[in-house]
Amino acid sequence: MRKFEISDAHTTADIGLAVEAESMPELFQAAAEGMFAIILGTGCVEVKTFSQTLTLQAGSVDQLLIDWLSELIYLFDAERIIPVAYHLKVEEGGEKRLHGSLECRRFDPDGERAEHEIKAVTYYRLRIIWDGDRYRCHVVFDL
Amino acid sequence: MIKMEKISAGIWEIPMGAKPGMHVPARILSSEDLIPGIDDAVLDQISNVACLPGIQRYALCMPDAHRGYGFPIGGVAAFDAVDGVISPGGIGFDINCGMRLMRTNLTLEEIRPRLEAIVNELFRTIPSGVGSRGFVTLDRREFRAAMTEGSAWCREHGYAVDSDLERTESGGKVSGADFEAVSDKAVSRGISQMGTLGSGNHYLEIEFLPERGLVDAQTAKIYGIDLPDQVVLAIHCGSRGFGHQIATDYLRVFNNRAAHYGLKIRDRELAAAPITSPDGQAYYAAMACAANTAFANRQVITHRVRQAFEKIFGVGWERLGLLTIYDVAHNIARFEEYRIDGQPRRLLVHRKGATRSFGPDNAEVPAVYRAAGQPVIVGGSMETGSALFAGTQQAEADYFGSTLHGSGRVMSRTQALKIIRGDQLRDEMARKGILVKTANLRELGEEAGCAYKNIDDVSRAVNDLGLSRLVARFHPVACIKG
Repeated sequence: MRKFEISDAHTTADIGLAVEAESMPELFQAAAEGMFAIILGTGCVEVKTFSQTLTLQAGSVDQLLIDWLSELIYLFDAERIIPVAYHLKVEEGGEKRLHGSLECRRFDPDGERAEHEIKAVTYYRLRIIWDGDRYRCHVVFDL
Repeated sequence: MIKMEKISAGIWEIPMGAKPGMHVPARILSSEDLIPGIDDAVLDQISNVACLPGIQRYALCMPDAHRGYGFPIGGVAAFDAVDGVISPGGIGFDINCGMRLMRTNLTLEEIRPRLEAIVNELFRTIPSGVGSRGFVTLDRREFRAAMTEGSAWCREHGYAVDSDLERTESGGKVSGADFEAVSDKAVSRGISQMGTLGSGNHYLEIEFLPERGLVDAQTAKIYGIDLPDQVVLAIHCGSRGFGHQIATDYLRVFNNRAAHYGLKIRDRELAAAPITSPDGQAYYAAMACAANTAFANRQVITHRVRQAFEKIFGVGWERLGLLTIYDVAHNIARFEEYRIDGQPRRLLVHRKGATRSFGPDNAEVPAVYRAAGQPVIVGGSMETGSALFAGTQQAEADYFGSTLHGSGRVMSRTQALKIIRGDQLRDEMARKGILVKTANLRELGEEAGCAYKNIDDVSRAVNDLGLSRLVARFHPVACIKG
């Protein structure tokens, strides 16, 4: 099970996201779903999808999560790509790796509205923790 | 909890011993009215800045300071160009976010009958909101030219005239830009966004000078503010996704390389590298590319504004007097020279949510303004309009030539929405005679005036401290928001 909750951030101008999940791939997926809920708001658009794969590597899972969300911001900003289904694998031993196979759609600025533009994912107090029951983290976005 | 002590009127200090590793004290420039609103996070952040290597004199907070990432917003710090560091957290994700103010020959009475038409035309021709694409089509070669040359690229392509460049900070070009230091991702994010406003707190406003708004008529006249009820335009935006990606890229590099440079990371958003190191040099070169792109972006928007006014008023923009008053960056790092212990020193001044404030006779001030000092343009909330200040020699002598950038946010987005929804705010502003056009009605509520400090309180503090001199206050009549 995974879930996210959008909250006030530490700065008054920005938005935070509390995320929890039973596994690391689910945590990464919930963080991405929460981020796109901030960008797009709620609502469902029926459109054609296409596949996209990506592989990321970082020295820590915290950095890997930042790289993952930053990659999705880049894909949205540069190519208007929005993931709608996720198949993620996170390798936590040694160098951390994420392998993602995504089903995506393209944002249509003429046909749909977005609510927020995210400039970047911040490092602000970002730390993934395992509380014995599930993974948790809080991500803050600069708007 | 970090404690500060008042040392003189408007100046509070966090002494060097307040946090281990501080190289200099931190100073908070404020007023008795504003100081209770400075929260602990601002004090913690500015004292972290005081711990960075090579910092000179003080880490400074301007009167509009509020908490940010790494540096507080409204944070200023100057680092020795040889022994100091450069930090993306001291510049912000939106590199060269800034303000441009344009004058017109029009009065409020003259624009009122055509206000809706001009707002609709501006909204149609200047893309705003999330995912918007600009009207300037660039290939990679042209985009590289724009990021290297800034406003000069605009002039070459018919988007600017000589006086625009003359009245832009450093002529609209930060030297040292090198596109080789910019990632492909940054180029891909930025290449289609030239000429877009963006979203969040970015806007294009039509404002006018109310009778009570004129504070210093002589300086105002030098800046081109010389009519009762004169209409002006304020443009607030930056380098868009291009700058955001550059900041993201280099924060990652700097965090990974901190141990290599022997830098202690107190806050990953405050990651830094020595200015003279290969990483520091590369970030500076990339930051300069983003700064130039932002100058070009505001210039291209200026061109669109002129076209829109020409269409609606049926006369050339020159007859309408649509001239740039000035364009200033408020998220940037600049090499400048100051006297430290009586000796001239080249410093890299980081201004994050802070504006240059150069006084009379400074060679960087355009010749037409040199007697008055550099224009400083300050955005309030969309309900309160902008303020025009003049830079001072006191700011140069005491505060690394720096001043405020805005009124400073005090309320979160969700708090603001609990007080007023976007549609309610739009209707309320219409009743006050302010026409609002937005790509995003929800976000409009998040930017309500109640979410910001009172710009008059902040302006008074700035004036009293001598950071800059208030020249005029403008009142909004229309706002286009992303």
